[in-house]
Amino acid sequence: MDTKTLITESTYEQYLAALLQGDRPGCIRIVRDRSSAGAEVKDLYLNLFQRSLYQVGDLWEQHRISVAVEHLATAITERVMTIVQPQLFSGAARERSIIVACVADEYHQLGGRMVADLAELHGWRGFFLGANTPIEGLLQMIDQQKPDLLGLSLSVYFNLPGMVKTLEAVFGSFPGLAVMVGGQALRPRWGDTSWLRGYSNVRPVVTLEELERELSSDERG
Amino acid sequence: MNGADSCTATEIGWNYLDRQAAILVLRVDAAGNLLSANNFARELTGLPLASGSLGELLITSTEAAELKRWLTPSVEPRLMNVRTADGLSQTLYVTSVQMGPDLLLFGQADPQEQERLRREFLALNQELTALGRELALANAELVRLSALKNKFVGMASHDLRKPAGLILNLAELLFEEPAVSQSAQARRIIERIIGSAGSMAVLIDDFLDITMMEADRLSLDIQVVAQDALVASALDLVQVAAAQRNIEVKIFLDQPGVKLRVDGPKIVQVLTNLLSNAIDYSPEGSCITVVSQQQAAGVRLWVEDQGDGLDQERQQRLFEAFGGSGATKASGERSIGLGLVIVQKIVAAHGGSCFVESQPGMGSRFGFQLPACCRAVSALNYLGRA
Repeated sequence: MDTKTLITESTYEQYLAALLQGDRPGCIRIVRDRSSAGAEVKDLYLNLFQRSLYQVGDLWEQHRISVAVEHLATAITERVMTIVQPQLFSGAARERSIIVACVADEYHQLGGRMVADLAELHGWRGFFLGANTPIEGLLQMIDQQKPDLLGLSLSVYFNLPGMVKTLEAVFGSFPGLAVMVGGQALRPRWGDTSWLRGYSNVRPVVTLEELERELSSDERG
Repeated sequence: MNGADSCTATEIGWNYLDRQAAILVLRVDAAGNLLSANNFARELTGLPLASGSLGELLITSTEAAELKRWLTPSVEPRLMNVRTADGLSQTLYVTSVQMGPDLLLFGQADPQEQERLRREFLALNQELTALGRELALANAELVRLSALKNKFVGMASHDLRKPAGLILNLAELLFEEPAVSQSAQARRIIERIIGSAGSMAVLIDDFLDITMMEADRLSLDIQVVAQDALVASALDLVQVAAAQRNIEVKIFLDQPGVKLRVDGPKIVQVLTNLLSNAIDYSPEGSCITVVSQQQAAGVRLWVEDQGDGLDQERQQRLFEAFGGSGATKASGERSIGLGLVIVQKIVAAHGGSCFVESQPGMGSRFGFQLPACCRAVSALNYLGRA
């Protein structure tokens, strides 16, 4: 864990317990407390939100929690993220922009939202289109905003054909656009990622830590 | 007696489970191979389930180990996350019963859990609605405070305009006094007063313009005016400043005599601003060029200088309020950064857009494009295609 984190192991355990119990006020209390103590947004995102959601995902995969608990944990996380949202949009004017979207039929939007938020923290304008973005709408948005980067999120490997279809459409209209793909479906445990080799403009960025490294190295130029 | 009477209760029950019940029923052998499945199971998973393995239904990346666990009978319901037809998952509470060499699995959703989820989502929705309301209220308050700020700046600028003008007029009168003209030091002091009061008057006018524009009170008085006359008027206003710095201003209008349908004084203000900037940021003895081009899309006008030029980062902030602040003019003075904001707002009010083309060390080109409708005569005439 990051040595500069204000999320201790005990804080994490308390938060995770509250999350699994569906204790929304408990989670809000912990996030407010850590935020007031000076925890940075990326500390909360990486060491509290992402970590706990990964664990929720593991528990769900092991049939130890139900889909209802998983959905509730996701909804509570979306709620507590609003606590730190004002910090995302302060700061200097944005010079570069990124569009982040979940491909058609992909309803897990939290990871994509976190990507757009972290990009904002790094001085990008993050346009987050949310879950289940139709290809036509995405192409229109790219045409309007002319982003420097497109981020596509895929959580369920089952939706891979949707991702491939989206990439084909994007490169059909915007051949030079840089694209970043991420999400749980790209973790090695879920499935084959050799399909990525067919796209030279596409970079896999699976975790928020990888994204942080990408964005930080980009800042250093 | 109807048809059902010929069936046993067990058969009726089986038929119900097989065709109608919202309960998953699976029969598997000891190796986990599917032998049969009811209608609910097939619809839920989107799979035929006539053959294959129980593992196909499970959300898991460790199928073999996971499968073993499900092949032991259990009367205690166990949580099973099943892969559904839409690629998502559903939780079923599964009991399993040994039936000869095979295993029967019965799984159903927990209605209490569904109800709890529904309640929690409603509560969450209410909380987000309340947050949305708070945000709307805070936004309304910000709009009110911004309007108040504009009003204050507008009033203050308006009240400062008179004394600034008076200082300027009196200093100019004083400059003509014999006592002053005989003293070099007095002349220098009065010149500095005139220069400072002049800058202050320009600044106050900028503040007034900005507050009017931010309050959406920028109204245009559209008239048909000659483009040449607009450029000449702007040039008149900056001629002295250009001469003081020994800067030559050249004019290239590709179609003399073009008439524009614009607010003349406001376009003169735009051109004056661009010219003043060019003079301020150009080296002494250099040359500035004013160019106009008639295009099918409209009229393009720009001012080109031989100054230091700007990097990409500065170019992007130029049209923001105070975005150009801190820039040092050739005279050493600092800019406050409002002029280009005013330029942009005036051009935008005409339906046009501003542009800047520059490279460090290569000078700059600041300009704007007015839409074709701002031309008093059809574009084709000007483009020589009529």
